[in-house]
Parts: sequence; C-alpha cells; structure tokens
Amino acid sequence: MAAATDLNPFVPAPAGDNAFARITDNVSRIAEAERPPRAWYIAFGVALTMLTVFLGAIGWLVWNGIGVWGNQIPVAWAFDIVNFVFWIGIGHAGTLISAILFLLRQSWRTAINRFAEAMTIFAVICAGIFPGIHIGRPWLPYYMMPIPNQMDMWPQFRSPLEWDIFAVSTYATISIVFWYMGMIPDFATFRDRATTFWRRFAYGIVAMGWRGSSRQWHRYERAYLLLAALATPLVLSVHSVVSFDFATAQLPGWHTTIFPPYFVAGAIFGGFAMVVLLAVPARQFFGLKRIIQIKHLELMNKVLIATGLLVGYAYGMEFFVAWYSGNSYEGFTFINRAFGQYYWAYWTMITCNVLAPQLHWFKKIRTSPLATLLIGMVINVGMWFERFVIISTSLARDFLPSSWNYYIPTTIDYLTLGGSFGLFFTLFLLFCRYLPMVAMAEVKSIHPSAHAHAEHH
Amino acid sequence: MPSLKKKALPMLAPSAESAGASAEPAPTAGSARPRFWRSFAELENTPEFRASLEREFAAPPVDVPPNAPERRRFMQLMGASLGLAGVGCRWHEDKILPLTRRPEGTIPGTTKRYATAMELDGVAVGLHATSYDGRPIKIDGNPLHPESLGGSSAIHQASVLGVYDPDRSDKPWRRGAGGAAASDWTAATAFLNAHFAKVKGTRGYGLRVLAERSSSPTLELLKQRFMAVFPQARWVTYEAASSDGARAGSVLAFGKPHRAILRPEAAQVLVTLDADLFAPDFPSHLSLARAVAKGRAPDGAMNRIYAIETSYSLIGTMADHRLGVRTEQVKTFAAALDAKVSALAKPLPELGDAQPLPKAELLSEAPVAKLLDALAKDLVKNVGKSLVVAGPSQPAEVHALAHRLNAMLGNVGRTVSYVEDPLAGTTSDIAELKQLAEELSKDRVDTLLVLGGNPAYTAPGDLGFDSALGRAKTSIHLSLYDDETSQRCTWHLNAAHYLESWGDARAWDGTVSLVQPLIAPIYDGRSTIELLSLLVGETAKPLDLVKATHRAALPDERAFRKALHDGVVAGSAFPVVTPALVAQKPIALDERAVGGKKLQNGQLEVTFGPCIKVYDGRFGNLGWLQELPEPLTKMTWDNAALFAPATAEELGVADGEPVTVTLGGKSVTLPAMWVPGRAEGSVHLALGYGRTAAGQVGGHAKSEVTPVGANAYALRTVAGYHAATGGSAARSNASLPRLSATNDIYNIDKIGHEGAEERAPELVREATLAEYKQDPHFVDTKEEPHPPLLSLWVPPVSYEGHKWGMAIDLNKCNGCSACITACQAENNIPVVGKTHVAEGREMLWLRVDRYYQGEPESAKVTFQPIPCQQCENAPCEQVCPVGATMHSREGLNDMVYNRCIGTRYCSNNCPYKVRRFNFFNYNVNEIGITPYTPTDDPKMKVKSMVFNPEVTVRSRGVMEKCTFCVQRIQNAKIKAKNVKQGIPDGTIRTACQETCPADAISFGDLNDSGSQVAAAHQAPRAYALLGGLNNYPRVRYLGRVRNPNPELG
Repeated sequence: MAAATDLNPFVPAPAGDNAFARITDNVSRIAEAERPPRAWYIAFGVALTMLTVFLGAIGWLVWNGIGVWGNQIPVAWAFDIVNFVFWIGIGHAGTLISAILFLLRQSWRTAINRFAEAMTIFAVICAGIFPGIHIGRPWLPYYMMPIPNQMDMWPQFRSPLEWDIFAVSTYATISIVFWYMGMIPDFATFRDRATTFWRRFAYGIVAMGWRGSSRQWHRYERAYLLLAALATPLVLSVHSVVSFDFATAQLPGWHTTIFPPYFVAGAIFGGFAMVVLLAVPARQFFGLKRIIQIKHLELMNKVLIATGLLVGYAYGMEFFVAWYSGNSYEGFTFINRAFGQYYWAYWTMITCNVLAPQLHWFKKIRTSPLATLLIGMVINVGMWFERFVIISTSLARDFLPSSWNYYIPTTIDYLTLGGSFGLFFTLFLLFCRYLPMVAMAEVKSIHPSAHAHAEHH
Repeated sequence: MPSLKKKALPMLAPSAESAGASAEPAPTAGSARPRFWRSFAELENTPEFRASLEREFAAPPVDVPPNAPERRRFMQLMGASLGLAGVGCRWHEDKILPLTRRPEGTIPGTTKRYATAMELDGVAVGLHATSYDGRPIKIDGNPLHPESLGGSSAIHQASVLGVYDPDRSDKPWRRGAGGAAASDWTAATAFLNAHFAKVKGTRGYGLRVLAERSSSPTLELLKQRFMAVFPQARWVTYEAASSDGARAGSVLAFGKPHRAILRPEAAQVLVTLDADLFAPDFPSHLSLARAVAKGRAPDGAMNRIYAIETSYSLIGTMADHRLGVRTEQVKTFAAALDAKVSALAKPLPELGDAQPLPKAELLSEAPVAKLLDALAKDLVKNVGKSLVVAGPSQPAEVHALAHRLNAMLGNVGRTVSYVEDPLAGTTSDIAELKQLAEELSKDRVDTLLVLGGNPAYTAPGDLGFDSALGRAKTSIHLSLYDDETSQRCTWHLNAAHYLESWGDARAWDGTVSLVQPLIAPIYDGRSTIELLSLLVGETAKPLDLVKATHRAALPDERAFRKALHDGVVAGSAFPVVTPALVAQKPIALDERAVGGKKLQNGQLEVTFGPCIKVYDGRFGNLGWLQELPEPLTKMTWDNAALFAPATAEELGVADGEPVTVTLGGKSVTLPAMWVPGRAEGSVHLALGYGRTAAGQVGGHAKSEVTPVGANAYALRTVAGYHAATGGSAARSNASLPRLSATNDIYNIDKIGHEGAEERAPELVREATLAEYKQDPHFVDTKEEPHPPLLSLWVPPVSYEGHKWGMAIDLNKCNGCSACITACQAENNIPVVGKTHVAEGREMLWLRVDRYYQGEPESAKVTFQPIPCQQCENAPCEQVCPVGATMHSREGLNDMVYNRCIGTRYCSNNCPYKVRRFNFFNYNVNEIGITPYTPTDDPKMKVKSMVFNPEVTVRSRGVMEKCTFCVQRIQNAKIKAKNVKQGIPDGTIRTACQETCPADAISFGDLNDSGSQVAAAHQAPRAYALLGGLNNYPRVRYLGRVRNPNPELG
C-alpha cells in the first residue's frame, strides 16, 4: 500500500510511483471484487426490503385510490408532492458539481462528481415516480404529454405542472447523458481489465469502442464541455420551474416571487447534504478515503454553510414580504406557519436548515466525517420539512376559514416516503457495485502526476 | 374543567362587551367591528386544546376504502362465491317488454314532472316529482301549493332516496316464538282476512289501532268505516314530534281548538316564543320561510324579529334580537310581555285581565328587562303589523297568551287568521299512547294494528312501550322498514312509499292535495289505504277511493285530472273564522320558571326535539340526510348534547367530549357540543338517532351496523315531553368516535382563531339597517385593500350571448340547508360516511358556511352558502395540466370528467375550496351498502336508479364541483333553440335555487339587463367574495342587513 499522500491530487506524488495505476486499481477493484463488503449486503438487503414496501404501498394506492393517503380537501397535496420536490431537490447537486463546478474549473469536484451524478439520476427517478402516482387516475399520466391523438386532447400549457413535465424530463435526459458520457472512458478501463467474457462483453458494449486515442479524447472533452454548458442552465431552471407550481398559484404562502432562487438554493443545499451523506459511508466502506478526502468533505460543508445561509435568508425574506405586502391573508399564512397548528414542522425546518449548518463554522466539525454525516442527515430532514411546511401548511389554512383543516398522514404515507429511500438506495448500491464510482480518468487528469513537468514550464 | 373563566376569553371584543347584551356594531363602525368565530374550541383556546394541538398527529385517518372487507371476511366470501359458482342459482328474471310503439305523449329519455304531496305529521306539502322514464329522480316544491310555494326542505329532497333504499322491507315477515320467518302478501292477506273475521265477531273487542297522524280525507273515511265494522276498537294517533300545546292553547284562548294561519309577510315585528318557524316540525315552515324572507328586504319596510328561545333555531339566526332562556322560562317572559303590552295598549275589556307582571329573577336581569320593555313598546307601536308565535315545545298557556297578544295588538285578520282545527275532539297524542301502553301491559289488547310510525322506538322511554308491545297477542305493523317496532310485532307488512301510492292529504290551511304514485311499488309494499281497504272489505282500488272521496269537489274526470296536474284542489282550504277570545287565568309559575337564567341548583333542563335532518328518526337510513351538515352545529352522522358554553363550563364538559346526560334515572352518553346563544342551564338532545333497526346507513344491530348517534327517546318522559327538569350531565370516559362536523373538525389554536376572526367581516359583510340607509354601498368599505385589478387581457372575454350568474341574498338565507341536499339529488353526489367526513373528504358541492359573532351568550349567526363561484378569471382553469376544467363561452367553469386525471392542483388553487375529489370510488363502495355487496347486486342496481341520468356519475380519482346545474342550462338552451326563441329570465333554475324556501338565490343571464340576477349584481349590497383576487367570480353575495331596535342599540 502506498502512503496516504500518494493518491492525493493536491500533494505531489513521490517520483517513480505509478499513481495512475493505483487510482485505477483502487476504483476498479470495487466492481471487480468477487463479493462486495459485508456492509454492502446488509445495506442492500435493507434497501431492497424498503423498495418492496414502496412497491407494495404504490400497489395499494393504485388499487384503492388516493384516499389511502391522508390527503383531503383543502390539503390536496401532501406527502406526494412534498416527496417529489424533496427528491428533485436532491437531484440538483450532481449536475451542479459536474457541470457548474466543471465550468468554474473547480477541479476538486472530480473526486465526488461521479456518484453525485449517479445520486442525481436516482433522485430524479424517485422524484419522477411521485407525479405519476399522485394523480387520481394513475393509469392516465400520458394525458399530460403532447401526444397527438384521436380524442382531440392536448395538454394545457398554462399549467405549471405541464412545465414540470418538460423541465424534469429534460433534466433527467441531460443528466443521464452527461453521466453516461462521463463513464465511457472508465467503462473502457473496466473492459480492459475484465477477466471474464461476460464482463468484457457487457462493459465493451457500454464503452462504445473507446480506445483512448487523442482524437477520441479531444472529441470527448469538447462534448463534455458542451454538455456541461447545456446542463448548467438546467440546474437553475428545473427547480425554478418546480417552484412555479407554487409561485404561480394564488394560495397565500405559495404566491411568492422569491420562490425560484429560493428553491434553487434549497435544492443545492439539500443536494449537497445528500452528497456528503453518501460520500462518508462510501469512502469508508469502499476504501476510497484517499480519493474522497477530508478536504473534499470540508469543501462541501462550506457549500452547505453558504447555501444554508441563502435558505435562511429566504425564510426571513418571506416573512418580511408577507408583512410588507400588507395583505392580511398573506400575513396570516406566515404567522400561522411559525406559530399555528404546524409550528412544530416550521421550527424543525429552521433548526435543521438554518441552525444545524452553522456548526460547520467550526473547522473541527466540518472536517469530521461523523459530524458531516450527521449534519448532512439533519439537513435532509430539514429540507423535507421545508417542502412540507410550504406545501401542506399553506393549504391547510387558506382563504375561507370554513374549509380549514388539519392534515394527518396515514401509514401508507409514511411507507411511501420511507419506501422511496429504498428505491434510491437500491439503485445507489447497485451503482456502487457495478459501475465506476469515481471518475478515474478525471481524477487522473488533476493528479500531480499528470502534470509531472509542470514546474519546468 | 380548568381555566375557562371569562378573563380567559381573549378574543372577545371589548367594545362588544361594553355594548351590553346586544353587541351590535356601532353605526360608526371603525373600532367596533364585529368579531366572528366558528367554534368554541377556537374561541376558548384552553390548555386541553393546546395540548391536543401539540400532539403532532392526533389520530391517523382512515386509510382503507369505505367498507373494505376484512381479510377474513374476504377469504370467506371468495370461498363462498367459488362454492356457489357451480350451484346454479340465478337472479330473479325480469321480462323486458320494449315499447314497439311509443305511447302518445311519451318521449323516452326526457323527464316529466308530476304533482304529488308528502305528508309529515298530518301536514301535506305539495311537491313536484321529476320522473325519468318512469322512475322518480328528483323532488321539488309545488309552487301552487300553499305549504311549499315552490320551496322544499332537505327531507323532501331526500325522500326520493327512500324509494330506492335497498334496506326497505320487500316482504311481510311473521314473527313468533320460533323467530322471524319471511312471508309474502298472499299468506299475509290470508292471515289478515281470517284474523279480522274473528275480530269482527267480537265487534273489535281488544282491537287497537295505532296510526301515524294523517290528514288524508280518504283515510278518514276508511277510518270511519273501519270503526263502524269494529265499533269496540279504539284508534290512537301518535306522532313523536307532535305537540299538544298549540291545540290545547287554542282551546284555552278560544274555547275550541283552532289552527293559526300565520302571515308574517304582513308583520313588521315578529316575536317567536321558542318557535322555530323554519323547522320541519313547524306547520307551513316552507311558506313561512318565504314570507319572513320577503319581509327582510332592507329596501322596503324591513321587519324586526325577536326570538325568545332555548335552542338556537333557524329563525333565531335571522333574528335581530334574540334571548336564550330555558323552555320552562318562556312562559315567564310571555306573561311579562302580556303584562307590559296590556299596560301600554289598554286592551278592550272582553279580552279579559292581563297577566300580572311576574316577580322573576329572570326579568330583573338587565338585558332581559331592557329587551322586554323595548319589545313591548315596539309591539304597541306596530299595532296590526306584528305577530307573536308560540312554539310546539310550549305549554297551552303560552299559546293562549300568544293568541291574546295577537288579538290585543289587532293582528287577527292581518298577520294571523284562524281556521277551526279539523282534529277537534281528539285528545293528546301522548295521553292516548300512555293509555294504550297501560292497556297493553294489562293484556287488554288482543290485536294491535300499527299503521306506520315506529312507536317502539319513538315512544317516550318511561312508557316502556317497546316491551309492552310484545304483550299484544297479535300485532301487525305496516312499515317501510322492518324496523324496531316490526321486530316486536307478530306481523310486519311492508308499506309502500308515498311516491308509490295513491292518496290525498291536506295542508295546514286545509287545502287538499292528491298524492299520485310515480312508480309501481318497487318492493311490493301496500299503502295504509290499501291495508284498511282490505280490512273493511273494500274492493275498489285506491285511486277510485280517492276519486270517490273528492267527488263533490271534483265531479268529473276533467276536474280530477286538473287537480292532479295542479297538485291542489282549488278552494279546499278550511274557511277562515274569527274566534272570540276567552279571558285567561294568570299563569302558574313555578320556582324554576321565575329563577334566573343560570343553571338552577345544578339541575339541568333537558329539551327534546325532532332533528332537522332525520326528523323523529324515520329518515335515519337516508344517507343524504345523515351526511347533511346540521345548519348550526355543522354536525354530520351524529347527535350531540348541546350546551350553552357557560353551562358546559360549570359542568366541566369540554366541547366534543363524551358526556353522560341523566334524567329520571336513565342516561345516555353522547358527545357534548357547545352552542353559543343557547339557554343556560339546559341541554338539548336531538331525537331520531341511535336507531338499531334503521338499515345499513342509520344503524342495524343484527348486521352489526353501529347506530348513528345516541337514542334520546330513552330519556324522554310523558311528563317532560318537550322539556324536562331535574337532569344532570357529567363528563364520561366512554370512547366515542369523534364528531364529524364540517366547519370545525379540529381544535383550532389562538393564531387560527384570530386570523379567522380578522378576515370574517370581509367574507360575510354586515351592517345595521341604519348603516345601510346611510351608506347603501357599505359592503365596499369592508373589502380587504388590494392593488388595482389589472389583467393581461382586457376585457378578458366578451361573453356574447349568455353570461350566467348567481346572486345569494345573505339577508334571506336562514341556513336550512335544503339547497345542499337538492344539489346532492340533482348532481348524483355520493355519500362518504362519518369517518370520511371527519377526514375532510365530504363530497357536497354546495356548503353553507356559518359564522358566529359577538359574545358566546348572545352570539349572532350568519350563514353563507358557498357554491362554485364560476370565476371568469378562474384560478383552477389555469393550473390544470390536461384542460379538464375549462371556461365555456358563457362564462361557466366546466369540468370535463373524462379528461380529469386527478392532479388536484385546481383544488389547491381554488380560493373558495369548492372542489371535491373522489378519493375513493365512493359510488361503488358507498356507505350504506354492506361491504360484501357486489356492485352488480340487484339491491345496488336499485340504488343506482335514483341517479339523474343527465349528470355523469363520477368515478374514483376525478375532481368535481358545482356546475351551476349545467344540464339544466343546456336543456333550456336546446328547448329555446327548437322553438327559435330566447330564454326568458326564470326559465333556468338551479337545483339549489329551486328548492330554496326563502328564495335567497337568484340565477340567470347577466347579459339580460332585465333579469333578476343582473339586478341583484347591480344592487348596492352586492359584493364578490374575495374579489380582490382578480378572479371575477360570477356569484355575488348581497350583504346582510340587521334591523336592531334603536332602543336596544
């Protein structure tokens, strides 16, 4: 084993050591190992169970109707849409890390970008399920698609839900393409190292004939840059569009111009929290500590402080605007949010999202993997509550007091929420097992060995 | 009950307190704005409520579809159906005979209306039944009938559901020592013939007939013949909701029983002494609602209503001054009023001496004394233009005083007239029933024939009538349901519904209506006329009997057909008489009557009354009525012990908590409910609940269907029939399902309460008459400030052609909620059941919001019906991704159910929350069908016959809402197009509008400047609810104007 510093892209490697080979070996052997670590099996078992519960809950829902959830009038959207927005939010960090940080030449991203992208895609898959199942007649979601048909039906493009369809599907497409393209050189590495026919065959197919020629690298990098440029506006647009679901509505607490930037900041915040939440165990169990280093965790934690403050600012600004508008309905919604029937949800949100990240001002905390993990979890809880507070508490008390109500989730609601994590983790664990978890080629590109002669220039 | 002290009521406006009992907002508005609130939980903000709020999730809601079979049951059924699959049983075969030639005048698929009448407690209300291909699907009032004037009540609306109720009895049953055995009419007829031949031999010795009250002239003739055949028999009439007070009172006043025909439209001052003129047990309640509402127009001579009453009544919500006193104290007030008015008016000597002014603590209480003086002066000022009415709960003396006051004030012939009571000579129902119970228990009754009614359930608990019934050797019960009484009788005979039988009945004023059947008896039932015919050996058909009865008035077929068509026999009303008043003795007032308003020595007065929904319990199996939110409490599927807040506080009973009410050693446990404005020291129990043999909806012990609510008849006594003293109430530890009230189904916190209170004056806009005269546009001053309403598209749409709009006059609405059931009947709205109502999933398209205002003791009530507002700039339309809710060219906000995929976004964006979502397939898993009834079960098929074929039955997962009865609009348009004419105003009437007894709703074309609705939209009182949202709703509310006595200001 090489010394800890060997693979640190920030520390020059000792001369003569073949660091590239070590990186390749370190990442590839995870997928090549005969059997993954015991922790993987345990985690996979749990995730698969949760996934089964998820599918069962969805089956029960489809069989019986939306009534198996606690949704009612006026709270017609509850866990369903909360979960949707939550997962879409999680799905932001990956593309942000891959695209925006790539364009900003933040080379430290290479250590985490691959699984952050994977996380994005899996989160978007989780998110995508909810709009499909939350509708009253889940066998007809294609009515929302502009499919020419003999029924003379066409979507109603003034509806933000329609915009969502396009925003989310575009985002999912670009994210998948981006992710897949980034993996091609690594697939080729897997193919080349394959010891069995089927491995060689499978990875050979997905590697699409990658040979690593200069021309291929040139084309690849051009394409990567272009895709990054394409994906960048999507990072901002998708959650802005999701926020339009609420911002364009008339409901006090939804009808707010601050929503697009507020939602994007929140999404990045939540997404980064999820990245650290996944990064800490991944580096622990798959021996990637030398690639995903404390330094990376620290940088991400700093992003969390920044975005956490942005989110906190948005919370404050909402109150200010509610007061400044002079509209009694708007004012009431916010007072009610903080001190009304759902005060506990509001203060959970504030504690998790505004107060918890402040701990990262302490270097000791932000460099501790355990603290990073815990705070990442807390933020995820907080971000879920943020969506709950926005969506359900605003609905519970709108204009006419006669229709006010109190939403209470059912067991099926909880199982669906929990089960969606099952889907997410199942996909993520499969990814860890079979796909290159770290962008080997990219990590190598920023390794000091790649710039061995830099000092001579 | 900790900390429910006065000072713990932070929400009360100090200005209201200083204003005294009648907390009318000062004319200068501003600081003294009225305070509104919706529930006690909201107002009080007790630690318990806060604690319950702190529980994150109080109780998990139902997450199973209604009536989902349990696993075990499911397995049983699956097994059974597999087993039966090969047995080869099949349904009853129907022979369908297609019409090869269309009968003249019949167009299949179109609806026809027939006049008929429904009788309740001996008073007929003329109705129009809409028939679709031979089956009645909708009931409305008959505009020609004096009781209805076109209006109808929720009970009438729901009565059509009863025709198709699968729980109705479909065959006679014979019961004996060996249990119940199904029988049929052949066997039953044979038995009846044989048995009554024997009875005839004894000239009817030991034969008793217990009948519901009926005003049918044909039935009266049959009764006379019956009594001629069985002279030794005795005929007893019993109605649980009946009142002896009115008849006995008129005997006291005039020496002979008379009926008062009220004409409140001519009254300037209306005084009700515990009389709810709009309750279903009050004669002519529908036409009275119309008349009172007519007098409430603030632009004309607006009447002033004083309500002195125990419970908050519907007319009490309309009253300008209201005093909550116990039922036993009303006579004190009435005596004092008589004394005061006599002193001021100096009556003629033939009216006799005035009542001495009672020395009562009640009258020394400042608000009462003040009210009494002002009222007396107001009455005297309006001689000939006032009206004093006593209610059914009041004893004869109070009724006599009301007659005296009316005579003294010159109202007779103007606001009230009299007819001779056709029931003269009969004694009190209750006394007769008591005698019958005694005879039964002494085994003096050999044969008891029970014609309708359900006396085993509705008799006062202290009679022990249900057990006495079993002592009759032979007991025969003719009834729609195999109910509590049937199950204790040796024979149950299935009756025909009123929509299935020929008959006749009289209105309160005597006007005769013919009852014509709309359909052949679905369950082979027989009417009372048919059964009596059989017993007296009459072979003529009921129709011929009816014709024979009215031969004099309707000499030929032509006249008969006209009467049938009109629904009334012209000129058949009783002649108006002017009875001479007899001098009155001073009223005896006991200690409690002269006591104060507060709870007396810890002894509660317990009041009983029929429910506005299920009446005396007979409509308990009609889901539409069970699910209808009770106007004031907004309670569904339940009855509760209604307390004044101060009394509940004294007893330590919180709102919604189980309470055991004990009276005379018997007790009943039910949820408590605080009702502001109710008399202190009194608890009200609605009758008609806790039924054990109603059916799958109302409760059925044998099928393990829990009764709806608690049975208050158990506590009722012969002596304390309407109100009994000596009751007590204590908090109970029983676990009861929580109340499903639609307006406040959770404990509201302080923030919520304050928010609601702050916005209410904008939502229901009110002013006093003086304020209105000063500023007719007062509604505009109550609008929440908003930026100028700009739109991207100006003008949005031109709406050439028709432009449908609605206006609702809050001044006329008395909250009776008939509109809700009418809407349900018209639009095939499913019933979801108690638990789902509690979850906020009721499906009613129209709701009536209720706001309280002022102090809990003297709270005022305002109702506001909320249909879909059909916004021109509709927020729901913009957010639907599939275009399932679209704007029509006539400005309707249409729902396209086939397109709807159920995103529910439209509901979220609807500021009025009028949209309703099918969370389950409520039309299949409907409450009231046993869980294991397959949807193709014949009984389910029968149930679906009530559907209006012109309205889509919505399936699971789609959104629905009020459509302004678009099917009626389309029909009118098609008709107009066929005759190439326009649609005159008033042609199209929405279901809610048509049924409204108070005529509070107008609907029509806003482009037609002469239309009633266009005028209403232009009225100064018109305002748009939440108009500041730039929605341009098509519904306008006409602000409420109250007319308080300036002296009480």
